[in-house]
Amino acid sequence: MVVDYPLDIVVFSALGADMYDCVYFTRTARFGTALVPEGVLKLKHLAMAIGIRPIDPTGQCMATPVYVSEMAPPKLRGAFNIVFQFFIGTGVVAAGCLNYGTARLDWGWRHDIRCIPHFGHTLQPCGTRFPRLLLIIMVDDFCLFRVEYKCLNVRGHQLEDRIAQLPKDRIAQLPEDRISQLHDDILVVILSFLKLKQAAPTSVLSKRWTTLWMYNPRLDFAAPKALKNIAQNLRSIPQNFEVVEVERHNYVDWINCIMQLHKGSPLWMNSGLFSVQQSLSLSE
Amino acid sequence: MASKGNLTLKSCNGKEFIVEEKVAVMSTTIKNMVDVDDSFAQGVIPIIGVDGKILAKLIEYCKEHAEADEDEEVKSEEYLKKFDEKFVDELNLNDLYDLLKASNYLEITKLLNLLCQKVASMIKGKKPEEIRRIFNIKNDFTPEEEEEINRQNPWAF
Repeated sequence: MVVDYPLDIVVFSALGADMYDCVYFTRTARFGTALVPEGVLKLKHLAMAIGIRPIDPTGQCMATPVYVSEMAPPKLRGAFNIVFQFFIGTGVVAAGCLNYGTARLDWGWRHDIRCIPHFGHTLQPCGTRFPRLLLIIMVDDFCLFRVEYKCLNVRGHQLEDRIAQLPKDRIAQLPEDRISQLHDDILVVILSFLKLKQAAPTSVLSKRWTTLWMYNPRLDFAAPKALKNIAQNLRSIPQNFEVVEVERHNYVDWINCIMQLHKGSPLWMNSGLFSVQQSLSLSE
Repeated sequence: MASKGNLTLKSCNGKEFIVEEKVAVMSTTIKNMVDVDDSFAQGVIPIIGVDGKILAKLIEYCKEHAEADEDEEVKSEEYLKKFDEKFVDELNLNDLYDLLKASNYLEITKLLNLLCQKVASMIKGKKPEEIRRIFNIKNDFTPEEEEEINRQNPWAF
C-alpha cells in the first residue's frame, strides 16, 4: 500500500485497512522530516536550528527522555524521567477516557477537548530549581495547545473532505444510513408492525421518513392511555362524564387528522372501541 | 417442470448452492421462474444482487421452514419460533439490511415479515434521537422545519 501523506493513514484506516507496509516514516526521517502531532516537521529548516524543545514533546518520541535527562540537574535526572513517564501514562489514560466519552459527539469541539491532557506537561517541571525551564515549557505548551487546537480542527475537516472525495462504494465500512436506502415498500412494512403512536414520530427522523408512516396499511387507533385516564377519573368522581366527552372529542379529532394525512389504502383497522361502556367497565 | 429435483442457485459473486426444490420455491420469485420456464429448473438460477453470504443465510432459513411445512412433527411450531428468534438475533445491521432487500426481491414473505418485525422492535419505544443513532440516520431538517413537523402531527394523543 502506498501512503503519500500522514493523513492518508487515517483515511485508509477509515476505509477498513488494518495492515500497512508503510515506509513513509522511515523514508522521510532519513531526509530530515519528522512526523509529529502537529503535522510534518522539516528538521533541515533554519527555524529548527534555534528550537529548544524536543521534537515531539507529547512523548511518543524516544528522544524526549534523553532531552529531559540532559536538561535536568544531575541529582534529579531519575526523578524527572519517572515523572515524565508518569505523565505519559496519565495522559494516555486521560486521552483514552476523553475519546471514549466524546466519541459519540459529532461536534467539532470533540477534537479540541483532546488537547487538554497536554497541560499535564506543564506540571512536569514544577519544583525544579530552574524556573526558567518551567517558564519555557509553559510557554511551549501553550503554543503547542494552540497549534494542536488548530491542526486537529483542520485535520478533522480535511479528513471529512478526503472521505467525501472517495468513490462511494469504497466507504461501505463507515457508518452509513442504510435503512433509509431501503425501498419504500420495506420501510412501510416495518412501520406497519408499530402502533400509530410509535410509527408517526418517525416522520421527524429525516426528510426521507416524513411521509412514510402515512402509507401504513394497518391503522391501529387503540388509545389505552386515554381509556385509562377516563377510568381513573370516573373512579374518583363517579358520574362525571365531562372527562369522557373531552377525551372522546380529542379522540375523534385525532382520528380525523390521521385519516386526512393518510395516503395508502387501509387494509386493516382497529377502531379502538372508544365507548362510554368500555371506559365504565374499565373503571370497575 | 422438473419434479422434486434439486435447483442450483448462483449468487452475484459466483457462489453456487444446490438446494432442494421445495426449499427454493419458498421464494415466490424463484417459484414463478421455475413454473414459467423449464430451463431454469435444469440449469443454474442466477440470484442478482444477493451475495453468497446472504444467500447462504436465506437458504438456511428456507430450509428450516420448508422442512417444518412438510413434517410438523419433527419441527414443531415452537421449534420454528425459537429458530426464528435465534436467526434474527444473530444478524448484524448490515446483514439485516441485505437480507431485507434480498427477501423483498425474492418475495419470501415470511422472512420479510420476520425481519421487518425485528427492525420495528428496534424502533419501538425509542425517541427519534435514539432511532437516528441506532440506524445512523442523518437529521436533514433545519430546526424550524423540525418544529413545523412536530406541530403538524397529531400523534400526541
